[in-house]
Amino acid sequence: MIQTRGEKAFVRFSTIMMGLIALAAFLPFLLIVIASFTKESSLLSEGYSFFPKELSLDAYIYLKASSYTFLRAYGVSFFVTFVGTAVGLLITSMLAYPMSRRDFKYHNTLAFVVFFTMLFSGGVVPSYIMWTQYFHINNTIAALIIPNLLANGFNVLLVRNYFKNNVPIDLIESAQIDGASETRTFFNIMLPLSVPVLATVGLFMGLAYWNDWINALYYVSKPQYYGIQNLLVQLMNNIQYLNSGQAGSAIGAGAVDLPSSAVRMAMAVLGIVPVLFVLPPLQKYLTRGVVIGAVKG
Amino acid sequence: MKNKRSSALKKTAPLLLLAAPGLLYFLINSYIPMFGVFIAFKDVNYAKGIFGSDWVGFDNFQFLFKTTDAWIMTRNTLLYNLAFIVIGTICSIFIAILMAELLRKLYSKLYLSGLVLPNLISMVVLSMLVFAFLNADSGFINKSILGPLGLPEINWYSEAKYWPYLLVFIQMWKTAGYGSIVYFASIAGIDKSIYEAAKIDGAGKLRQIRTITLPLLKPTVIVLGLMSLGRIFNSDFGLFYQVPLNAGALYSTTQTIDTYVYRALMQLNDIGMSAAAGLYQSLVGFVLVLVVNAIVKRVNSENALF
Amino acid sequence: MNKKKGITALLMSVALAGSLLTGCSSSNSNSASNGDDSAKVEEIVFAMPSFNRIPDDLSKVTDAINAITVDKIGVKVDYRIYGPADYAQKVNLALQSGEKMDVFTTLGQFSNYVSKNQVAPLDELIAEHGKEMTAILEKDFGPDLLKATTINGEIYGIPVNKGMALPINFIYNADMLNSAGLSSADIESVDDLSAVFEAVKSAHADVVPFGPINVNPSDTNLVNLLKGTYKVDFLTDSSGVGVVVGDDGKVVNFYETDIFKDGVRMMRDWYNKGYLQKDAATTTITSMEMLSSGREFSYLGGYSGMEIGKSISAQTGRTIEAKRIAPFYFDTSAVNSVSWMVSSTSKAPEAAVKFLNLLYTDEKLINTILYGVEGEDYVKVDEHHVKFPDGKDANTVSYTAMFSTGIVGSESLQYQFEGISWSDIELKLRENKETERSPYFGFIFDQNAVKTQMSAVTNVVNQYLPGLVTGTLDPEAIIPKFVKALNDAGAADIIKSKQEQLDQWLATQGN
Repeated sequence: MIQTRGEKAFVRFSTIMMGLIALAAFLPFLLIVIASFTKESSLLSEGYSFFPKELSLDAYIYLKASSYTFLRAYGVSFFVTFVGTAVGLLITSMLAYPMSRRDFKYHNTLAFVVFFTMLFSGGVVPSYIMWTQYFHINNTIAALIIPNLLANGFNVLLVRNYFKNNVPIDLIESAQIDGASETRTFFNIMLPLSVPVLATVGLFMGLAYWNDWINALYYVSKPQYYGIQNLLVQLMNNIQYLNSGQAGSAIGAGAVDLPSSAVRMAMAVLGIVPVLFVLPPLQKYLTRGVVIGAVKG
Repeated sequence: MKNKRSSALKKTAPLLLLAAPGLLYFLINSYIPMFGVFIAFKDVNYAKGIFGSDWVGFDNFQFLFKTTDAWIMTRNTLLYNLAFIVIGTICSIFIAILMAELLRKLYSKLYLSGLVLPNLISMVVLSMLVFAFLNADSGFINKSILGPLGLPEINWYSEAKYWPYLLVFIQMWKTAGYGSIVYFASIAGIDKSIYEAAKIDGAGKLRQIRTITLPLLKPTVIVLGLMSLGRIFNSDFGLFYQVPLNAGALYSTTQTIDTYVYRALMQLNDIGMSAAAGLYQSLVGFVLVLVVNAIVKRVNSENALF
Repeated sequence: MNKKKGITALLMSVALAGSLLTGCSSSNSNSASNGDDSAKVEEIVFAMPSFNRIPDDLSKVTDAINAITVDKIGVKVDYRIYGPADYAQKVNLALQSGEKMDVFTTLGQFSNYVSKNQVAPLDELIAEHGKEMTAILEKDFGPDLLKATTINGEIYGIPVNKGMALPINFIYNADMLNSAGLSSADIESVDDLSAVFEAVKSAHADVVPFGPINVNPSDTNLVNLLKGTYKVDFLTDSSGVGVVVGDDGKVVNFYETDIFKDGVRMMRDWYNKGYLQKDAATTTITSMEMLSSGREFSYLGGYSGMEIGKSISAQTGRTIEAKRIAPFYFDTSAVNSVSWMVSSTSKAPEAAVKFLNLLYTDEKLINTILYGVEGEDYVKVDEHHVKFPDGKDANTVSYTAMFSTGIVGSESLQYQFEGISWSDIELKLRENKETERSPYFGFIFDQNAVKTQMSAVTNVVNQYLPGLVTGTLDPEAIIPKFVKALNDAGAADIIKSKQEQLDQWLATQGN
């Protein structure tokens, strides 16, 4: 491929801009990491700094000693994220496919039905009653996977949009003239051609599962089902609760040993770092369309 | 006649079957609990049970309007959301186009992490980071930027006028990269032969973007835009409550409907009133989307949401 | 294409595995709850807040509790334990959804639960099954304790039985005080503090002389100081819009009183002199953290007993001392803020009250709940004291809820940790009886009639109060605005409604 001068200039411009944007994203995170290794006293006297006077491992030692089982929590989080994303992606794309077909009578009705769920919700209490008293999912691993996260209107409409605009209708029609069933068309033509959007939505779902702690707050009270975010949010909420006027001196919690700012930063690091290892390989799927586009052409 | 119907059924049935698991999930997860909206019209009394409680009409909605803050919080919520939709879309598309340009570069994999990273930092931690930059005594901006430049220090957490810019900036920092992934996926899905043809016709890079990339992104922009319109009366509680550290002096520019409801019901803890607030927010969004969608449909039915 | 099929197959199999897993785990939980077949024993759900780590396995402690309760009162306890931030959420969800939840506590929301009819009246049940409990409450606090949880003549809750008088203590770093050339004798009342701060500030330029006790929303404890000093009764809602000062029976807006104005003027003065941080109203760092890093000299806090200096010293690694500078004043919410209640939907209210009775009177039960199984989770040192078994600490024992001592049962029956002096517990109980009670002790405000106004007023208070009590806002300019905003929000309606209710209540007191 020959590049013109204008194109080269544009690539250079893109490189610099993206470099700056990436820097803006990484620097604050670096600050968090450094703060988690900073000695508490220098954190309080000098504030957050990229070059702290005194480093220390105290925050991580504190977390280790707290005997929260981080390893098990990571296990729960990974399991929930993997299963939830896989099932959710399947359901989402299966629903999006008919909606993307203009020749399907109910495509707009379905879109409306899905979109409506994004706007209105009955609130926590009705959902809670339904899931716990009719489906009995409380205190099971399913409680972390099924409520709210398995599919949402945003993702379905995103996938539908991609199907509708990026996959040529002739491809589907010619496959069906060849006698392919809808199921086969979907799995063999639609899905392979839509890897970028599936990767995108998969990423969104995966992050939603990884970051979720609400389901566990509502539906789970056994620590063996706590994912990493639950552990972190619980620690963080307890700190906030005890620091706020609510708890007050009335409870007399004066003797509770609260984790410091450095510990909170260390907790944030523990929640983020594993995700960073998963992201770069995902890039491949996000850009898969480029290759397919070439094959098609 | 009968024949025609059965062939139509033959055509729709497999598609409905594919949609079934997802529809069933939405029915259970979203539609069944929606019956709970009636709580908004009840004075909940647990001895009588939720169903047996007295109907109170629109009493639960009163607290949203009978306050001098009603105008401020509505204005703030609307303007912030509009700013987020417009500026956010521009930033995200900009980033997506740059990303697409650098696909084959070795370090491009790092960028994806860079785009997602800010979104992984929880609002509580983010508020601590912002505080590290802005606090009056030892903040990075006052100490390391304004001080050395000889400029007067600013007491950020008591000056409401800076916060519209700060909040938009923080929101963009947190979400623009993440939002760009959708556009990036769309660009990745564009047939490359179209660009090759344009190149042969002598179109430069900028013209390719203007005449090919942007028009092809239009459907995505419209769908995402419509979806955010539906939530125009909602706001990210963390951004407007945690990040400004709940500072009273900043309420005039940080109070949104969600923060007002939270602060108002902190003591009362009344599920009827919070259901009322949620219903009000949803209804406004819903009406807005119906109107805009109808307009889009008239212009180009292809791009409408439904 | 082949690879694609592989991914699809994988998705499918994972989906299947997921559903299998769901199926089997949910059937597990079903069989567990149906497994109990002893018919005579009644079962109740008892939810406890714990500030310690939530243990993985509660079965041993639950068994130990049941060994006591089934034997003594024929009640089987389903023991639940939640973190303090989750507690209210979990309990409320259970109550709102009609799930089984019998015995639970309020963390400061007593009258809300009553006004929504979420809790059952207990008068008759206590008379029948709670005699020992009423006796010990009377012994430790005085005959009027249950007044704080009585609404319209019905008792709705049992306050935790502990040292409830929390005089305002000035907590300070003794080393800094001494190096500034002063001693604890120089601190007698709040009026001495200006001079102390000045001396500390000139001796330690980089130290913050005075910090807030809470953060976000910030609170310098000024309001509590004023409440104790001037005998202000907030009449059970914390908004401060309808209070009575002294005993004149007149409900007024606290923020319009000279007491409040003078208080915030003092804070403003301290702020202007640099005794408080510039961003005291919004800081995210607590005084405790600041103290332990040596960045802060002092703060105000309400603490019972005389041992608080010692325990903060241990926690911060500094020499911290405490000096009482204002008395405590018992109003209703000071006593009922941590109360145990029985759900109005409970199927076994009798069993619940029997259990409560045992909770306040049985030494073995309360200490099992707090410290776990003797020999495994703790060992006894002497009559009143315990410690962890050798080689164990709070994080390695399989169960402890030792930080919940101020939340449940009777403090006079609780074991203390090694090193805490028993005489301090006795002092706390004595002070329960000696501390002055508000003449309106027992009055509980029903907010239902003025819900809309309450919500608006809460917002206004949130907006102005933190800035005023930390001195960051200028009282001369802000208080008029604050008061106007309160009036616009309907403060007058609240005051009127409160006055009516108070007058009615006074009439029923019959003297």
